[in-house]
Amino acid sequence: MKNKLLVFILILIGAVAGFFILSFHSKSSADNYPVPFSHYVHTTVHKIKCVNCHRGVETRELAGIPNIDYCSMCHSTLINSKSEREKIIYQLVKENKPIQWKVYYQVPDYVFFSHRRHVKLGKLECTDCHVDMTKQDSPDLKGFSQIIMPLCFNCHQRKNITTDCGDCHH
Amino acid sequence: MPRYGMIIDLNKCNQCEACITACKLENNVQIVSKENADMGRAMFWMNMLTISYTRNYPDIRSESLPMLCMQCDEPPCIKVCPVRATYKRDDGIVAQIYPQCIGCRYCMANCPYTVKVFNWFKDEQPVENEKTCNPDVSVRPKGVVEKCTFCIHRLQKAKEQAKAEHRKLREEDYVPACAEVCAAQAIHFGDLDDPNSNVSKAMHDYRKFTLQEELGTKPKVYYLSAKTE
Amino acid sequence: MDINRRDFVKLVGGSLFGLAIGSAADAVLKLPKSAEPVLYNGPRIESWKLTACTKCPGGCSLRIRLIDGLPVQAFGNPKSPINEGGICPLGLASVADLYHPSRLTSPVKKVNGEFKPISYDEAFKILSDNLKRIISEKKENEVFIVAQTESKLRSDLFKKFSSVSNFKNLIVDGFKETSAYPFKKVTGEVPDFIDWDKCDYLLNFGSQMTEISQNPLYFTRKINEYRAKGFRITAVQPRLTPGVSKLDDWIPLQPDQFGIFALGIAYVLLKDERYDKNFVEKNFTGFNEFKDYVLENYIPEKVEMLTGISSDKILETGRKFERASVPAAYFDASVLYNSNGTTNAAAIIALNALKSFKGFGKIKDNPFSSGVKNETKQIEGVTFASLNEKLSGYNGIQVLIIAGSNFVFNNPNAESLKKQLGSVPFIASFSSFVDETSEFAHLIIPDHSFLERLDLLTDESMGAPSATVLQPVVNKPFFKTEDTGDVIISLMKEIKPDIKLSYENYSDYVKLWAKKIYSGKEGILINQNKPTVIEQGLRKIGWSTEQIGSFDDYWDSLMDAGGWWNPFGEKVSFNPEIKFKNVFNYKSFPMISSSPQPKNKLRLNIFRRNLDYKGNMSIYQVLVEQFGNNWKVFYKLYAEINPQTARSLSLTDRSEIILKTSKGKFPVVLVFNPTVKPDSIDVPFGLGHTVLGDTSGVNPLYFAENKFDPETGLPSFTETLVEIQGAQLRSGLLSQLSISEKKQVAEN
Repeated sequence: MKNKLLVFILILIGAVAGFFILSFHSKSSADNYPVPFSHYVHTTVHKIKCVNCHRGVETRELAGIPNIDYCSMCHSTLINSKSEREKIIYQLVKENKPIQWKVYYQVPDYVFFSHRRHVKLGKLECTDCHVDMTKQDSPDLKGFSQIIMPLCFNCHQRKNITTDCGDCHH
Repeated sequence: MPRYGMIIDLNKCNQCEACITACKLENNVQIVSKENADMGRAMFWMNMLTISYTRNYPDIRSESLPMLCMQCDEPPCIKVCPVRATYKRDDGIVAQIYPQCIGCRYCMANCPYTVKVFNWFKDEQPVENEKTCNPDVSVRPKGVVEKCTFCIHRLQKAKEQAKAEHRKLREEDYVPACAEVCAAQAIHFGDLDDPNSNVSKAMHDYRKFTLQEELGTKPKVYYLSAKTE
Repeated sequence: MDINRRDFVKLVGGSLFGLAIGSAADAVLKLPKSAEPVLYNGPRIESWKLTACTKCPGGCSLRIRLIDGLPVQAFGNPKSPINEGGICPLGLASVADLYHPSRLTSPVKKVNGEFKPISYDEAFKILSDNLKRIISEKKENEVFIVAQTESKLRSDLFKKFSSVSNFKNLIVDGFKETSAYPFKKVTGEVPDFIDWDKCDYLLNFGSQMTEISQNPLYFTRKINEYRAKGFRITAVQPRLTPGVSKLDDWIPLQPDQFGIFALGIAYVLLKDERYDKNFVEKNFTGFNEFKDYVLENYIPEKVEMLTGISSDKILETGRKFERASVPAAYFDASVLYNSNGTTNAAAIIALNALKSFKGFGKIKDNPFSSGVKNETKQIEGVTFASLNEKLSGYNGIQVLIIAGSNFVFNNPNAESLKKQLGSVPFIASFSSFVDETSEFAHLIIPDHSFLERLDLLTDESMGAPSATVLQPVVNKPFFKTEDTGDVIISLMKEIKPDIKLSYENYSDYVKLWAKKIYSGKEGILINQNKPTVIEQGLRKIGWSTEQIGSFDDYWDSLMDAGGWWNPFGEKVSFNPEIKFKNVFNYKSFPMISSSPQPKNKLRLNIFRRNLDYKGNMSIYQVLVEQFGNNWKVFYKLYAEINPQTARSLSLTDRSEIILKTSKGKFPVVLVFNPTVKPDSIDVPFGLGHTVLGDTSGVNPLYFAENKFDPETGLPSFTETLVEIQGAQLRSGLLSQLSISEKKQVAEN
């Protein structure tokens, strides 16, 4: 009984420490994007699909990140005048200042990955490789899935797709 | 499974060397510094090689041929690679996987055609060349061996495009850069196993020869001799 | 306290689990590299645009590959009748133009010997003020304009400018223009094309048809087809160029003896009486005198004595020429780079006249033969000869306008030219780069790169009029450059305010030319299929299934197609009048070859390679490297020598030696090539720039004799004698020399 209590307390301490670090990071996560952009608001609240903004997903190699000219299609007027966040993007659109996005999901340049091949032709879901962005603002809050070769191999072997080195590395 | 091969008609080729420039630019092959070039470290996946002179002056003629990786069916280079960085694919292309290569250069020593090149250093590239890099091909780090891969990145793109359009890969979808730019249309490329492809048809020419046949490497790059008589 | 193993695992695991939640993101986020922008930080959207190449006279249609709107690669346009998807090394490398670090980014003015950026308006004012001053002082004759352009539209605009402003001294330094010069002088007419379909024997005098010619890529394919049909080509050339090495017949001959050889062939025709008697009677003024003169002076044995070509060979070639039903003796601008270039060309024209120019043809209705709205007064212009003459007078030139021409680099007289240019009061240049010529300019208004401007490149050498579209592939020019065409049009308006022009700017002007195609309603866009015979017939009687809309629609489809051509236009034979007496007295035809070559000297044969056109290679590092790849002599000048000659001089392969001409010494790396003429040493042209791009190597032309063709003023490339200095350079010394040291070597 005593032991169990001790274990419980220690787990609690660990969790608290973990949450402390977590909260520290989520605080800094605002810096992960150059603008306070929220995937959650766009996808879950406003029901915008991934492909609506990442337009290359089904047609090109890179999914693409929309920039100010694309944002301006909605944000050229203030939709919700109370939102502080929206004012920032509204201001950027007015100044026509491109956003310096950081690219988190990126494969090294000796790997050739095509979104069209995987999403359109291979019929994969976004969440098969990426975090479910409908539940979070920026990609670092929970379980960032790292793109590593075993991830590719798992799928390729299971589905009996080519594992020839030269097909991806050139 | 196709078996890709190439036939170069030397009667048509007039050594304009566009294939060499195209290869260099398509594959982001590094331009080495002047000092390194002086040391014999210049990197070309393709060369215009003068192999012989026939007859005597003034009837003398030089015989030159564009020399690239022979894409052997029995490649000597893959037998010595300790890390399987170079290997033969099912479609016959002898690929070179740069992240896998440890730079031991055994394959270079074992290649009878001396068509593999080594990145001795990472020299600074001219600005204009960096800006015109081909995004489909990785820039190799220092210390790896590289060679012609029949522009394998073009095959991947062509396959994807064909699949997206719900059709089979056509012959003209995939040609290496050298064959594409040839003004004399001397370079034929395609599936050697497909009896209807251009290469298979050209294979029946009596002028056909390969380089260093006696070694048993079975090259998939064939030449048609310039001799017409 | 008892903690068993299981509890301990729980305990540690619990706290670790808690920590892990927090730090998982951290581990990934510490990937600075993946968050950094790589080569192409963008959606990497690929697109293709059509344009044309301006790097040589060919004018091939290009397909430019753009990534996110920026050009990265160039390929040939498979739909183009000119190149059919082919492209040459220069074209492949040409995209680098746009990004070159030494490109001029704005107009510059020379202040205290250095170029300072200024605004376009200021630059334009300086230029126009200078020209207005000249006009008010009535010194129009002291203005020289040198325009290197292969575009007929541009050269016509310069001619218009020249006639409007009364600046009569215009030199159009273009390949086609130069090639046409001897024809214009001798016959007044210029053939448009070689009739490949009819021609059954081609005697080629010195033209590097597949490398540097009017249409290298078209000729490459045509020559292959021609040979496959079983027809023969005889190449008379000082060097076994790659194009020649496939031919059955090569006659090694120095270009200064082309004329003698051509008249030697003419002798055979005249002696055998196998010439076109009707034609010479009608069109050849003073034929009988010419005949007597040739029969008297150009006996094969005598020609053999002068040229070293055996009389049997001359007879054999002559017989081939006379037996052919449609022979052609071809030459182009390259024959003029000699001290008797125009006379040699005239002799070749005379040889053609004996067979009534059967191998050549003309296009009947060429929409581009006359200028826009026929308003350009045909001004003849001048040649480099008069520029050289005026420059050497030191005070003969008040204003020099240079558009794209780098004539200092292409001139053996560079040292004194530089001094002379230094004394010209005002030089304006339109070069995109500071090169050996424009470094002397007082003002540079850089032109757009060819990927940023609009033009139509017209051509007739296919036997069909064609126009390839040169159009901007980037949204707007990268820098503050200005289209030279626009500058010229503004200058015309500024100088002559009362002039009425039918165009406001260069793109209007180009559209006026395009309207000629539109209103002609002939030909097809190059992306359209050739119509069938029936369709052609219907077209002829005015039936057409095509809906041609407004001009604007047509213009858009022309831009999309990348060009236009008319393969079914009527061709007519070329029947000019030969008037030797007026222009050349045929008695001035070459009689005696240059004095016999001294035994200890070799002929310096400077040759051109297709990697370079008039010294524009050095801005492309990839080509400069490739330049040395054949002999694996990189970034140095190599000299090819016949091994037998070398052995008799006890020289070894790949030794670094010094060549000595009357003007100085220069180092080369010797390579053995058994195809080189035994009495000459072959040195490639293209290296040795001092300011433009790569500066390695030596320009051998600077050490050549100051010999010029008296008519065209073009420098001689092959008439220098060299001595090989016995002392061999320590290996590696060459590469260590800096530019100034190289100059010193030269001066010693």
